[in-house]
Amino acid sequence: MRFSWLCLLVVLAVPAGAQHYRLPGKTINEQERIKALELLQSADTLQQSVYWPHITPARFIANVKQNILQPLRLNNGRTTNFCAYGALSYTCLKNEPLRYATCMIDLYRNGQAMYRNVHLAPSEAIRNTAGTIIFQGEFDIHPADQIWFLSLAYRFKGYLNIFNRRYQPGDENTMWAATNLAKFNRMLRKLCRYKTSSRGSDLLRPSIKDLPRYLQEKMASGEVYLYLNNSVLRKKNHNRMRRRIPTHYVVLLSLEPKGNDMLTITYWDGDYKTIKEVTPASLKRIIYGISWVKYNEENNE
Amino acid sequence: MLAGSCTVSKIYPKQYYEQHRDMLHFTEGLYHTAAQRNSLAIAFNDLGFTEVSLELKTDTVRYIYDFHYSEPRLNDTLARYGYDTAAVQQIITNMRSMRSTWINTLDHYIDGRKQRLLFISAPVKQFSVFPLLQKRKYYLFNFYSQPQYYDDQGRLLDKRKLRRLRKVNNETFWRINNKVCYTVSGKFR
Repeated sequence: MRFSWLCLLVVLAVPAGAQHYRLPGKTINEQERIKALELLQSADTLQQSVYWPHITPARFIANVKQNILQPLRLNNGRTTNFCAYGALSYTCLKNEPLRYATCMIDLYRNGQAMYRNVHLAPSEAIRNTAGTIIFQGEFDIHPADQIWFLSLAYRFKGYLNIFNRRYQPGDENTMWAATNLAKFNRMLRKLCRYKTSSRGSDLLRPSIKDLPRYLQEKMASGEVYLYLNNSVLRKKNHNRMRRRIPTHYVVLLSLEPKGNDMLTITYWDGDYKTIKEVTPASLKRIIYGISWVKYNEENNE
Repeated sequence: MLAGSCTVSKIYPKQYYEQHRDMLHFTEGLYHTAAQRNSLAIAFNDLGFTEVSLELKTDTVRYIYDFHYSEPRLNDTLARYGYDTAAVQQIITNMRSMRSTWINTLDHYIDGRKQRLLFISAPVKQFSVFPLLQKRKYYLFNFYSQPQYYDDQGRLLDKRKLRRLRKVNNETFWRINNKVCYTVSGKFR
């Protein structure tokens, strides 16, 4: 009897234990980066894709290559709602550039691709728009990034996208592309197969006693993403009443105390690594969500 | 000058431009000198024009610093990153006298070629019975180095397709002259 219970426990435990989570590396995955560049080199003679009529192969390859060589220069546009997809792309480019490059080439050639188990198959409206988005600064001349962000926004949906689910040109600036915290965590889990942990919500800030230390601890053991109200970090008006909602995703890179009760925060939010001094109180005021994934000390997968 | 949430007449931004024309263009020239090597953006965080925020950009890093406008640290920081301290100080002085809240350059692409425009904004003078609930509006001015195309209503057009309006920060801009256009927005940048 005892033996049969033991067998049953083993049978139940095996699938749970076998659930395989990936872990991000501490530094850029150099081996994969070299392979990804080789892949792009061999794919240089791509034919014009019938699926993406406004994107030439040369511009496409140049953009993907630049992302792999300089992941921090990835640009998600000036007024788009692509910041969450940008933060997600940061980890893809850092940890699995080969998978990213393979997916991008498939997406360009076939109009659809798999990124792990995630099927990216954007609609015709998106395929006809990619490459034509303008007035967004550097994003204008990055057609591969337009494909990637539009495809991700088309594939992943959350409750913020309920009222606008059918893409029309210009929707990259609207709620069609918005991302709530649960959707962001889901994207990390599905796309990168990370074991993602999170504190906070879309409306209420997390109650954490010593927030700087908490963030430092999380950063020491993994990648940390913040969902924050950007109006303090980058003020855009002088209204006395401010909307108390989070609007922006960033990748937290470092947080260090600086004399006079100040903190130096370094984060990445598209195109630039930003360094700014903030007070602990304002840091607490702006952070609504914290998501983190733990580092693998040895190797990926 | 303007009632709470009324729309802003097209006359006012043009008046502002005419009133400060010389200083605006002087500041434009100074800015191009100051931001020749590295990009620079200056914002005023308050409408008393005392708290200045500097965005100093290198190739991959953007440093954001907040200062009181008369703080000596401001010059030290500018010098450390190799900016022309006197030129930046003069820009800040001009911004205070014009009541301008933001100056920056924006990259845009015409026929695949990078172009830069200077972006200056200033708050609209507004009166409100409920200042706490007031939503601020700003004049945004774009300064181009080349003459631009406009339609018969005076709206800025995209050069690539002359029927399409060119939007900067999602806003339609209106003609002041060939190289300068404006809009009124709820955001100063």
